[in-house]
Amino acid sequence: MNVFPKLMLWAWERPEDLRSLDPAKVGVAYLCQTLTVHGDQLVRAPRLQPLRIPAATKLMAVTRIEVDHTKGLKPSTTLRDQIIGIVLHELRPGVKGIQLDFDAKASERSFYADLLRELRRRMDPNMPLSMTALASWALFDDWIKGLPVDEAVPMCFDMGADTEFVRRRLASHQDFHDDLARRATGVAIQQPLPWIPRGLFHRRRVYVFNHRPWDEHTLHDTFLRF
Amino acid sequence: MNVRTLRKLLVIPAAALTLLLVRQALACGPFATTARFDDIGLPDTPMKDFAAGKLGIVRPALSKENQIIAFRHMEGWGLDEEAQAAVLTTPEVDSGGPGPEPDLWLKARTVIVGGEPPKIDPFTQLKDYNSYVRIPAGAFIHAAAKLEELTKSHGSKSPEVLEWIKGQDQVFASTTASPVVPAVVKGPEWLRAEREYQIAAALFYVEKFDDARKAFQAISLDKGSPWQSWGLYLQARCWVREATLKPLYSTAPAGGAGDSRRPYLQAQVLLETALKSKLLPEDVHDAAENYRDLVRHVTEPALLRDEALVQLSTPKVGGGFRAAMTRLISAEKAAEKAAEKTVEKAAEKDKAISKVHGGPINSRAESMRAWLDAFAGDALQANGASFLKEAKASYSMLVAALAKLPKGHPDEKALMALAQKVPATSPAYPTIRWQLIWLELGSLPLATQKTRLEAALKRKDLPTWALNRLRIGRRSLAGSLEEWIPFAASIVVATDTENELEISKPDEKSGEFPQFFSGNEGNAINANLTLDQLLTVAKNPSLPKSVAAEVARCAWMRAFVLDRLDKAAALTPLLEDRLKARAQSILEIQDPVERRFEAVRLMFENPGLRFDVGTDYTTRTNTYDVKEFDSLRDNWWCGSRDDAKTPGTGHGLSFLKPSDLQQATADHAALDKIPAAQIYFGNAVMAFAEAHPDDPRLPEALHKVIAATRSPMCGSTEMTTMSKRCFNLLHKRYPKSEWTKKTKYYY
Repeated sequence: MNVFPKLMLWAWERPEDLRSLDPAKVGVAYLCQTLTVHGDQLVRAPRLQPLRIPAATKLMAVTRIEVDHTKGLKPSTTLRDQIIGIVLHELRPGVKGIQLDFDAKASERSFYADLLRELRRRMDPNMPLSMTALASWALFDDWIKGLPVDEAVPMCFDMGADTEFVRRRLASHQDFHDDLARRATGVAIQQPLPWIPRGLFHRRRVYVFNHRPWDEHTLHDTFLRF
Repeated sequence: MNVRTLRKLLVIPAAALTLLLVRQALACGPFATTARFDDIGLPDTPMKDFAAGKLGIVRPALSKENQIIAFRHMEGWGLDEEAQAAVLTTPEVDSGGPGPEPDLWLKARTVIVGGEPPKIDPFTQLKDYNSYVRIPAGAFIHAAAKLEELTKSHGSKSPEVLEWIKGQDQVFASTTASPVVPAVVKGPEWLRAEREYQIAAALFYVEKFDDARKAFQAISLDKGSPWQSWGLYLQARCWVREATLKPLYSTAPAGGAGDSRRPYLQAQVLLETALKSKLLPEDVHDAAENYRDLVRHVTEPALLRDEALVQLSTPKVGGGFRAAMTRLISAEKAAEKAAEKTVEKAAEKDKAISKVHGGPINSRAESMRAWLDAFAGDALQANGASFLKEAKASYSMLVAALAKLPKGHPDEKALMALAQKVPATSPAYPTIRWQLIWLELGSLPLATQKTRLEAALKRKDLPTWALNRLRIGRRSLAGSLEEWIPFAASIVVATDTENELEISKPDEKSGEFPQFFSGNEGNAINANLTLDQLLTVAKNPSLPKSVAAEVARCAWMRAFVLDRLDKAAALTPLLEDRLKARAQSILEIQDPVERRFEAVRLMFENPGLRFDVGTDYTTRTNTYDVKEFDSLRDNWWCGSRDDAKTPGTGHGLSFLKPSDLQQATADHAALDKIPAAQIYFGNAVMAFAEAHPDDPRLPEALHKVIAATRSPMCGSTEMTTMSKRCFNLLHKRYPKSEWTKKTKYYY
């Protein structure tokens, strides 16, 4: 993961112009595609909106996985391999890492863990593999322990009912359980920054989400803030 | 701007007319429901009634579509039945590319040719880490339908049909990176014609647009081709796709060599010719019309906007009303953008277009435009026009003038006089009556202001957001807590679960809407009130019972943990029946250790018990059901209190005395020393265990302390330590208890 700067911006499915960022100091994790599972079928929706970045930017390709819960997820090696095939096939030149973003339900975790293990086995061993994590996974659960990822990024924003719990937990100097979840933190600029232990902040990678398109002013502010 | 974006402009989901909003693909969850107490911008009446002219209060928060509907009714134009029906239909939303349609084609062809179906990727990568939809869903649907037609006519074993399938496979597999154009074939006439079409399609998909245009042009002249009627339309598609794959805007003058509109102008001519020919199949005709609109967003957005305005202001609009509204909004945006980007100014451009196409829009359309600009924008202020002059023009302009009038404006009295003459039968009447409440208020003495607002609050015809606005107004005039309380709670206008709104409905039995303390009022109560004042709030009969009971519970909990048993006793009669008897018996226990132990047992059964009233509306507070254990861990309390609970931090209770705030500060300081619930429970149970080691209630209590530590609102190492202590005691002292057997772990 050392190839990536400590500050990463999420660029989601909207036109984004990040050409004013300093690629030596800021990296970009961009939504590359969304894979929706309908039972045992997979529908791929690639990114349709342009992303403009400086050439030297360290880029991480994010694949979001969603499940049509009316049909559920029917786990199989075929489905697993299909997902992995798409993730690896869609890597553009210059992409330095992969991130998976999947809010797996409890019943889907076994499939997800297997997917991560097989993906890790098939991808370039030198390429980092990151995953997002619900903050609650990293605080009240231990299922991500031992997963073959270089980091699990607890998303400390849009946490719904968990907001107060996570905020209080961090405010009371209680860090995330697993080491994987202590390597990075996800925040959103429109929401109060969660308390991050002093000293650890400078080691931890921060991913920043913007609910609106990035602009020069916000980029500048974000860089100063983090 | 690319084709996909333009297409989206034509099918903008009318969020104000439906409750479905597009979800962002955020990685978060679970999703909580929160309350909305403000104006959510929906009509006050059911959409059916709104479309028919029962407008409720018209305000700028309404969507543009609803403003247009309101304008028509306020002007007295009404809305015909077909137009009303169109308003009530839910528009289709562009899903963003093929979903299962490629599988439809693959299954159809594999049934015939067998073997492994080829891989199809309907998207083409672009340079900015994005893609576009190279093969739309319709292509796969048409291909499957064509295959069915051919097999019916010629049989599935026909070599020509197999050749056609081979060609179609090549069409769908062909990409710009690996272009494969089917070869010309000899054979029956039908196969030749189909192959010509496949070749043209393949050229289109691999972005060889000149060649594709020529191929489609040849097809449009080929009387033997079943695709002849499509030829002009598909030539237009070539122009548009080619253009949208390049940057759209240019600073070159319109019509010049560098004009980026040129391909769209070419496409427009082709589409209009195709549409005039009346030869297009019905579904293609509709697609061509939509495509032409799409193209005109680039070539003549101002004219498109004006045409939409004219259509929307005709006496009988008919079934095209909704589409015309969508077109107006999208064309307006496109016209604004075009005006920004081109050398000519927008007004000059409009003149040029008007000159070409025959004159300005008519006066009805102009009046609609003027009103929309005045009501939602700042046209009235910006133009410096007399509000009174505009208001005299029509009821709709009166509404706009009243909405935009700055406070103390010289026209105020005259406008109010005009407003008071609007008849009750006018669709504008509810709006004007609402506006008058606020205009008249400013000039009245304080006591009269209060009476007026209270009288308005009793009206049955006002929507929930308006009642909340009145409550806010009345609250701000309160001179004491007793005066403030009746207006403290707010009505839930809607609940919001990740941007999906559900409008509040009144309770079937009581006819009352749910009420809660919104964030500000809840924090005001939590932060600033002493126990005595909380008692005053809980006792007030004008609060809904559920709200008063919540205050009583929280106050009782505070009183108990702070050992202010006299206050707890005063609050006990205000608790709901289910808790009252238990609370009473707890307070009667003389031994403080046992009293605390019994209180903790009560808290085990009621995880919603805590010190602070719920603010807003959460999974926990939406029903005020304190006995339910919340799976999202919103149970009991944490050991730290945040800034919102600091007394004296505003919240609008300016009538509180300094002595009260001092007491509230002292209460909060004491509450801050109370540890997190699980630690509090553990301390109480362990103290009781030490004093009464043989008490039969202990094993269950110890088990429940441990259980509570497993899903804390805010965990800590102290909590884990407490859990372990309880676990050790349980196993050591009560090894044979069923509760011990149930407690295998302390974590």
